[in-house]
Amino acid sequence: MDFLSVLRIGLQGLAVHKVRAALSMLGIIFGVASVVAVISVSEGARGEVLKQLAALGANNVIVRGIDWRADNTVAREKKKTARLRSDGLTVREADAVVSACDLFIAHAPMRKVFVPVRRGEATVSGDVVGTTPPFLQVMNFSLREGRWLNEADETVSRRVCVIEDAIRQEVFKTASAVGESLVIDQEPYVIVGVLESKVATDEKYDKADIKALNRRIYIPLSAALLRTTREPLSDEVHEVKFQVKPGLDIYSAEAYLSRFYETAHRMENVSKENRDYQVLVAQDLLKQVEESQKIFNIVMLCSAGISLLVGGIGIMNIMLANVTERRREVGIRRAVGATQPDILKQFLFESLIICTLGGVAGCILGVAFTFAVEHWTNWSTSLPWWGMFAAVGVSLLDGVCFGTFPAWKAAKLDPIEALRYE
Amino acid sequence: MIENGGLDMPRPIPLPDGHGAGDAVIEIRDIEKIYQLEGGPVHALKGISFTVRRGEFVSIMGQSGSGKSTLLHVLGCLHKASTGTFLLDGVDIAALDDEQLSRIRNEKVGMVFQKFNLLSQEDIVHNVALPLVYAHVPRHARLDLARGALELMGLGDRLHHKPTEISGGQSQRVAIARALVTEPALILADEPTGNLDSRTGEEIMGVFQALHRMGRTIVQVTHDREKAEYSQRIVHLKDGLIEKVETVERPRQAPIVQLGAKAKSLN
Ligand SMILES: Nc1ncnc2c1ncn2[C@@H]1O[C@H](COP(=O)(O)OP(=O)(O)O)[C@@H](O)[C@H]1O
Ligand SMILES: [Mg+2]
Repeated sequence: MDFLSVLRIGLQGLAVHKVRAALSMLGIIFGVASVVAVISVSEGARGEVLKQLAALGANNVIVRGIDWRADNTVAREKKKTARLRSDGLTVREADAVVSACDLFIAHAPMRKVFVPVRRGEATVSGDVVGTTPPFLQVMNFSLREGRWLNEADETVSRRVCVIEDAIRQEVFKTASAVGESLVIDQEPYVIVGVLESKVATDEKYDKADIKALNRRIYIPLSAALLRTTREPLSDEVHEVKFQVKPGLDIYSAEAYLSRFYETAHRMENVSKENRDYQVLVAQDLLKQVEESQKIFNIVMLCSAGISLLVGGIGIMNIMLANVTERRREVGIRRAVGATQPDILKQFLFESLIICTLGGVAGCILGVAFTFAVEHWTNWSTSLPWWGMFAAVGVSLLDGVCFGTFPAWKAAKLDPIEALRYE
Repeated sequence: MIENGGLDMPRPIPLPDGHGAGDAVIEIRDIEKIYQLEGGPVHALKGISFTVRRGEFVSIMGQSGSGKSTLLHVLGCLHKASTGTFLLDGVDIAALDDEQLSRIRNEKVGMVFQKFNLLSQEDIVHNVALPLVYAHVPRHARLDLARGALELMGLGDRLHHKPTEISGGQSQRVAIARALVTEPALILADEPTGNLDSRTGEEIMGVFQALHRMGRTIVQVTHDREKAEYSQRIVHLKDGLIEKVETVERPRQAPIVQLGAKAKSLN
């Protein structure tokens, strides 16, 4: 039998009992929607983790201070209390750690500077970050043109900066921005280098993250501390990234840093939440997120499984009823020459039509659910193209699994018995 | 009486038993059919032999339960005889499996039933095209052939009516068109007039006689003597055996049906 005939016959068969067919699709719809939801939420979480990894550096241990921006009153209070014991994260301290042990090959402190950036009269939207020369290596970033900040820049607090490619495109619109300058906190800084932009196809990053990373303007740390308006006035840095020597266990490095900072900040007796720093391992974040995802995934996959099972049974049910009701039709078809495989194909195809329609509806529901998740929670989602295929594939598999038995029953009907049926 | 009433029919020499018939469409020998039931076997056919030659119009008669339908189902390859040989248009049916039987039904047999057996969800042109679907005839050719068969039955203007929208006589003509569309070697009809009033029944007999004049081979089952007399030969069944074979010297003549015309005589 040609495909068009099979399709025609299948659709006609369904058209007879539209409501029944629609009801039998419900299970498939919810099952497929669950599959889509699981895929998009867990893919989204994976992307989230990857972007954090990219921002932190996969092989780095990060010691992060309190974010003391003016609008964060909780952090400011916490910092005030902590001040009684320590001076916060400092460069001196970080240098001391690295020279005291043999665990790290490089480290880079980071100080965010919340100051206006302009070019001529126009405001440039960019985040100014002061850092030291090793930063490039620690983050594994690459340069598009010019050079990175060097020791001399750091020593004399030179007014130079390295910008992200996105800023070059936005502000200068020329092929090269090296030699141009930006006004950072009233002072002119010469651009000496432009970083390669972080693109979405790169495994390491994800969409939202790229926005933040691609907005940065790097200046020498000493310049950030000396030349810009500071709040507070201390030499504190926001973050220090320690790059662990290849081959060493990142967790023992983490343990070492934890012990060091505990002592240095005199916070042995202070609970982790109340300390003025956190020690982070990028991989831990990944584990944390995966852990919190796991429950969601299990619940959703179970519900998908149950829905698909219920949906499958629903389809088997409706198809068995169809076969019983249409015994006479089977008899007629057999009498005019349909073979058993012809009949099997016909009824199986009907199941597959139900499943495909259900699968497509399920995909739509799943996508809607994904948008809802994105909108109502802080989870990020992402639905890869293969997710849709997987979902519809699952529903088709459901149709084959549960549609074969009714179709086989129809095919095995005795033509004469079938014709006798009213 | 119309002495030459049969002159317009090509009349093969009626042989009560078709021994020696050169061009046999049906050749059965010692056919038995036993139904295995819980209460024991039912011997529905107990050894039947006869031959139907190409171009013949034969009736099978007998009382209810005499085995007419069982025999017709054997002839239509809907099931196989328990024992005996059956050559249909030269093909030995006993040797075939289910799939091959389906193919034979498709290629060599056109079936007409008492209850029409049309698919109610399809319009009549698709009903007629149905056997061609299973013969793998391409869609356009299929619908063309179906249209042709329906025009032959005088239903060329009803192609897209549903079976529920036409009369019983028209339904039976649709069924006959479906039986004809594959150009089968044999047309079988099980009580084709059983659900029709006598006037419409007579018209269906007229259609059969017209087809017969065109050279078709037709075997019908009926319990109605009058309908049987439209054919050339009557095989009487009783309790699963042939009681006698009777040659109809002067078959009844239905009002002449002009096939292909949008005949008003066919309501
Ligand atoms: N599917 C069947 N199973 C068992 N017995 C059957 C079946 N079909 C017919 N019979 C029996 O075979 C005999 C012949 O039946 P049938 O061929 O239908 O006769 P007719 O068509 O002449 O009325 C009857 O006794 C009937 O009960
Ligand atoms: Mg009968």
